[in-house]
Amino acid sequence: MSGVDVCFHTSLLPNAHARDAETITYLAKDYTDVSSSYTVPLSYNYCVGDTETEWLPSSWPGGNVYNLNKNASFANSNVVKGFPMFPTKESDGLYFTPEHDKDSDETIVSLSPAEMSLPFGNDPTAVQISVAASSTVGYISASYFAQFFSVQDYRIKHSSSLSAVQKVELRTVVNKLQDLVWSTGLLENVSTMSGWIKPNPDTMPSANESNYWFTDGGYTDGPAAAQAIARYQQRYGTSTHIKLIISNQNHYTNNNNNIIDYFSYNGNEGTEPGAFTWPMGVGAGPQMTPQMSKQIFAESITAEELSKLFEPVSGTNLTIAVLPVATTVDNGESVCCVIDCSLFSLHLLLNRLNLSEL
Amino acid sequence: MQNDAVSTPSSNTKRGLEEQNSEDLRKQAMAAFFIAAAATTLASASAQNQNDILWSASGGGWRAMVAQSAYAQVFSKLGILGGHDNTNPQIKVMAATSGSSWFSSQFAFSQNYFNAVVNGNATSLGKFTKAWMDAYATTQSNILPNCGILQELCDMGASSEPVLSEVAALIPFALNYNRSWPEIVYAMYNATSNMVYDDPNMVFFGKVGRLEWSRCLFSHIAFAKCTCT
Repeated sequence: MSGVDVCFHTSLLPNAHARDAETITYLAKDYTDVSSSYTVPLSYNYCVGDTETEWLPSSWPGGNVYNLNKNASFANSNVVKGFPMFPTKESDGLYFTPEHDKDSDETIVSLSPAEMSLPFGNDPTAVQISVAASSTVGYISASYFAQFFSVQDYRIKHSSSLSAVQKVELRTVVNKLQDLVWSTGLLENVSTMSGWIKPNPDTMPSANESNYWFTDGGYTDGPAAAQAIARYQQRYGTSTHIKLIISNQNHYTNNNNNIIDYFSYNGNEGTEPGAFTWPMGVGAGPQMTPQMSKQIFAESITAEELSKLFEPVSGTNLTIAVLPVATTVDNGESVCCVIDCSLFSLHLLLNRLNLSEL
Repeated sequence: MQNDAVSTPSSNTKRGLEEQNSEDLRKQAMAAFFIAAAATTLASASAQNQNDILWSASGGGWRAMVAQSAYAQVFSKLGILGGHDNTNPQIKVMAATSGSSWFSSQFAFSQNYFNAVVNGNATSLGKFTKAWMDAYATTQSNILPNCGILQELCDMGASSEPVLSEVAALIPFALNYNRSWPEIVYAMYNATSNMVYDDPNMVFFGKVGRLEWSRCLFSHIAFAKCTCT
């Protein structure tokens, strides 16, 4: 394995509720400007090379810390004001300002970036980093879960299988759940906390205001291709013709949403690469919140064109496609390089311990 | 990992053996076909076959982890992933998330796991995978369908929309592990590394100085010989 960089792709939750400290910390692009607070997950990578390890990006967001009344109700609170909820509205923007500073009973304390503690003591174990990368229900922790529940609320409202009475009951339960989760911190550790230092998590301390949480990397870049290319360009430059193999096992019925996002298509039209947007498949797949646009290639493709590229591998649940030669978009920091893409897509349902098909 | 250390399905009857042999042949044929298909696909992607390769992988839980191990075996046999004698692999970056990171963490951090994948064939990898899953299953046995104070949600979720019902179904499991994803996944690594590929220190790797860690990770010396502390 010498010469192979191994990268783990994870996502950083935009806010962190530290129950014991009675604070909520909003990560911010610029910690001195609360209007730059993030409301959606951020992409983070941890790469291990032959002689070094590195977080990408190398710097961490600063945090704006707010004191909270732990007994306050969540459902109608200002904790999530300004968050982009589903369904998207004309008024939705991103980097929205959580409106705590407008409340008289709350106090702003701004932390400098240096005061945000580095995750896992800045020296994660293999288990810790893969736990962070795989926190698949992390969206149900912190106040970020309001965005997840906005999708569920929409589904309940528009369900054809639920009666009107059932819809009312279910929405009541969902609202009660949000309050319960918020007031007790019941599910905070379904995401992965940065203050987990010792290998065995049974000694993990409670979160404080300088900690934050990771959730599944699939919520910012499903197949991690953007991260792989970023790491390669960082190490070897941008002038090389390279090949990219994507093995895509994300979704049972439709694996293509998280591939087409890499190209220019009608779903990201008008959105600059790297800007935030509601991705394809919100409410119907693993994407439930706005994300940073994952367009990394300048070329355009349609869903139909992409689907036609796939060919089945006889006797297996696999399909293989050779994607068009692509050129990385100019991000203002690098020139483009050309990439050949091969895509292995696995359509196999293996979400229970039933090994009869192995 | 020595392949003979992997538990094998019992098949005491002649018919059972024949079925097993037939199944082995089917897997070998599928593997061979996939290797050919993969080689053809990779070759057709460019006339410049010596270009550096990046391998990125999505999540998908066990589905992803298992698929990655099969791909890794194929890529190793194609000579693009590296191995004991390959000091300049074509694959320069492996990026993984979620379920795929369960594979890459074990593959890169455990010599025994690496050997079980790279040195085997489709049949041995299938047996290894089944043993891994059996070990993992021990961490979930005897969990009662109890949702505690969230019972109302579980009851509603059971007959509700798919995503909410999936969340509800996870609650008894989560309660058993103190509602802690780290504890759930740590238990998975702990059980499988101890019971299947005999690498109990797998759960500790990484807690060393950066350079020392990397040297240990990427050397092909048995981890026990590393001076990691």
